[in-house]
Amino acid sequence: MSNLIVETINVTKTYNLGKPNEVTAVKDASLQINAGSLVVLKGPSGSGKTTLLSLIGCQTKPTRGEVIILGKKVSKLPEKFMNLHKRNHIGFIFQHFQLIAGMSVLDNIVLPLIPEGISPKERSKRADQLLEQFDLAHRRQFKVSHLSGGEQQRVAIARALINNAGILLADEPSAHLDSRLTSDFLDHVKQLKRSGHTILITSHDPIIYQHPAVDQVFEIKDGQMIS
Amino acid sequence: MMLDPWILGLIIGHSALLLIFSLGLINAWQIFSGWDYNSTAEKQFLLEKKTYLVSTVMNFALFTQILMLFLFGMAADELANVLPGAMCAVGTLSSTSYGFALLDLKIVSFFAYFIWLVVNYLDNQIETYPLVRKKYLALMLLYPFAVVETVLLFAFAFDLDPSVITSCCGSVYNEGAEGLGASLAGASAGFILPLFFSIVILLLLNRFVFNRRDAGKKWLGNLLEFPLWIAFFITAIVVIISFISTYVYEMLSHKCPFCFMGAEYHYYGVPLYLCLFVATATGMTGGLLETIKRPETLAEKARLLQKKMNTVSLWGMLAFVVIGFLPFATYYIKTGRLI
Amino acid sequence: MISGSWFERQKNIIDYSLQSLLRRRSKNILILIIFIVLVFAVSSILFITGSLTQEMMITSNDLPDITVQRILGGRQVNVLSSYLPEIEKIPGVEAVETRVWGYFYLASLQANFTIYGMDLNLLEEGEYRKIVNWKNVPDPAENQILSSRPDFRMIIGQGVFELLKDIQMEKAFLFYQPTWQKPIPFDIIGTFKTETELQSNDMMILQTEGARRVLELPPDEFSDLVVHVPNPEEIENIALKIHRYFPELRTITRAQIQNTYATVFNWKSAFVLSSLLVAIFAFLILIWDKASGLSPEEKREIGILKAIGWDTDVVLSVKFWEGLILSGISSLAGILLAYAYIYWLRAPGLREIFIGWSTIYPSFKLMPDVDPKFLLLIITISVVPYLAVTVFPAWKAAITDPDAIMRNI
Repeated sequence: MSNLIVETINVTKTYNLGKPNEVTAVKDASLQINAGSLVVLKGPSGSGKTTLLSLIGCQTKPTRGEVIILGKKVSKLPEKFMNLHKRNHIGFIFQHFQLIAGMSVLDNIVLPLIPEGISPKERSKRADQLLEQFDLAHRRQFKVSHLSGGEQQRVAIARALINNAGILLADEPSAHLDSRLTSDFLDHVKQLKRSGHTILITSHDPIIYQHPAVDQVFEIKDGQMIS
Repeated sequence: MMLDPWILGLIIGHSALLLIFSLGLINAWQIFSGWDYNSTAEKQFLLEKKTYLVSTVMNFALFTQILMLFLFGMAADELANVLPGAMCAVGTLSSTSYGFALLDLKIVSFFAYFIWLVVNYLDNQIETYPLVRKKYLALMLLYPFAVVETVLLFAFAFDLDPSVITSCCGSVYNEGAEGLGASLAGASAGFILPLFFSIVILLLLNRFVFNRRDAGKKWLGNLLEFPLWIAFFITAIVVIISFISTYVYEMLSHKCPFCFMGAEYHYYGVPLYLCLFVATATGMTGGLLETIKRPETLAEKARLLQKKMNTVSLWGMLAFVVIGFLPFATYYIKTGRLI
Repeated sequence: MISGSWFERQKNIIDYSLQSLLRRRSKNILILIIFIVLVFAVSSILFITGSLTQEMMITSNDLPDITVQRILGGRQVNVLSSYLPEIEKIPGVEAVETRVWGYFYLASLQANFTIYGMDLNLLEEGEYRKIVNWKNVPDPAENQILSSRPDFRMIIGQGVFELLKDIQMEKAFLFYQPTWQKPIPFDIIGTFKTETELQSNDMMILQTEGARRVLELPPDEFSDLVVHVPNPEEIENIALKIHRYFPELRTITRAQIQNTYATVFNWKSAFVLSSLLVAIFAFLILIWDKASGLSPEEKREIGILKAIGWDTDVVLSVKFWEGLILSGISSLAGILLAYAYIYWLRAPGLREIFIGWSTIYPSFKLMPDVDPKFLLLIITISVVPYLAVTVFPAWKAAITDPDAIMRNI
């Protein structure tokens, strides 16, 4: 395994530890993902796959175990440094897209660049490239709330890519799309894979995990890895 | 007790400061006692989040303290209008036994908050937060001073009495009189100026001779900066009272370190004090950073910041000397003689 | 990933904060309005105090060095002429002047005038000539005493003049008291034009002899004495001395009067400010409430920002800048409004509280005089408490977990 990019070692995530409503969402999960591969994490809803994706995506810290991204043990880092690693290497596409409704397409896409101190000019330059790539140029100044579901997802992908992250994570991307839009999405994913991105998708949609471009499928059930 | 808008402003500002500092204290205690870097319990995650709260609190404290320092000086100046005998801020401050104590405490607090924030900034750049316990212990030690400050302010406000005649800079800084003020002013220019300039020269020597890249005892030179800058600050204040002020007012008997902050002297004192405080704060912090040796990653960052601070302090000092001796120079060129 | 400089970052964050405020206009407008009103109130009070103190200082510079009054049974009574030579003998005293003055209440107008007796010939000839708008003077060059009754002439303040015009007495005025057999007529030969109107507005300057008649003052008695001391350092001492020689005499120095005025103004302003404190406090609670009770929309937004990699301290900075922009803009607006209210509209409603008892002042100008000191004080009273109250709620919002939006919280 020379080009390992993401690795989890026995990660466990327990919410509300020690309280009556304690719940273990992920238990002793270990997986390895190679650079440049397209991987699907499948499992029914409530299986813990979104929590595992959060752990890999540096959105939360594990209760036990290690998460290693590009050789760095991120799980032990203080939030600030974990965040830095996240900003530099990981792009996230959320299930409900999670765009800010009152803002324009452009403003949404460049959001991750604001705290980096990138000038507005440089921001739009980078964004325009992505708007072109995802066929959103004509929607540049539209409020995101006026866009269709497919367009919103493309905005979400563009936002995930604006930091030039090498790793892309997508949470249930087909949940709000019809089959035509899902296949559009998969086209984009294939393209991104060709350009060298490592992609991890959670899904219980066969259109996605049975897709020929997928290199590897992990299955999770009740918080535990099955395969 | 005097009911006065300026007193009211000071009380509001200090109450806000103390309130927020109390919030910081509680959280600092929790962090200090509960911090466990290796823990993955949610409690540790929460403590980590609390560090942001405490940082914000201290930023607020520093910002408010700077504002209060200026406001206090101006309030003292303004209150002189209503205190019989008081012609300027000195009269107000010396009309109660708390005035100057409060001012001194505020200056010390300002430097302490500044140093704390610099160390905090450095520590936050290292993944393991190596100084976390020391930092929060220091913060808890600073809290009593904030309390004392507030108590002193109230004592000061209650003690101000418009019916008691007070003395003013004319007599406080009168060389014939007794007391600290008089001996400060009495320090003749012939004594204090050489002292002041030898400290300035020592600082420059220390920076450029002992502290060169190839010098052997570099750490000693850096450490020396801390006491040297304190000495610089104190002598600078004496120079302001006994020498600079006489040339600003162009009067031998008027020796006041406050009056020239007002409009009638074109706010001359504002840049003067700004340079003095910036130079001293960065200078002494630069020296103090020398004590940070471990871990190596932190020491490295500390060295980088130390260099920047040293540069800022040097320019600040030069600016102070230039601004401070400008009135003297213009007076001498205009009249060809000394006061 | 290449990051911009610290300044670029702050610029971006400020920019974002501004847009974030604008997006939530409706939520912030209420805070904005209340904030403006409070700053307006506070600044108005401070401005009027500052101006009045300033004006008082200017006018009171002409006050006598020492005023000497005679006190009998705790009341001020007339000073006898026998004191004069004794006081003149004290070393350091240059001259002692006698004064005749008092009040005259005009029931029909419900106005109280200050009557002051002096030799008007001095006014007509001396350097003070230019402070009077001379009236009914056919030819000032002749330097002639206009009236056939030289003892019954007077010069009045502009405010008195306006009042007397209403009752058609602006040329000649009849003093009358029910105990008198007949009224005493006075010719009005001029009005004052001073740059500051506060003190001369209700003033009537009468020829001394006439004033004695109106005030019913016997010939060898005076209202009070004025002592001139050339060396300011000696004023306090000489005042003490006079009081020691004649315990029944009360001495008032100029500095004492100035202090008293300033204290009264400051006390009044602080009193009004203190009553405002309740309002400020209530406002702070409102802010706390608004800042703590984030709408689901705002919570989601912060969650998104955290999830796409914004640091906690960046979100805190946004909150800080939002607060600073909001309170800064409100403060500025409040201060400008107060400036207009005090100096253009002449503080209707407020000036009665500060000037005091009489409605005689139909007009008085306040000199625009805003020391930057006051701006600092206003910022301390408004912005500092605002930021203090928002520290905790802002932090609470900023520590939203990045995975919160993934868990659909």
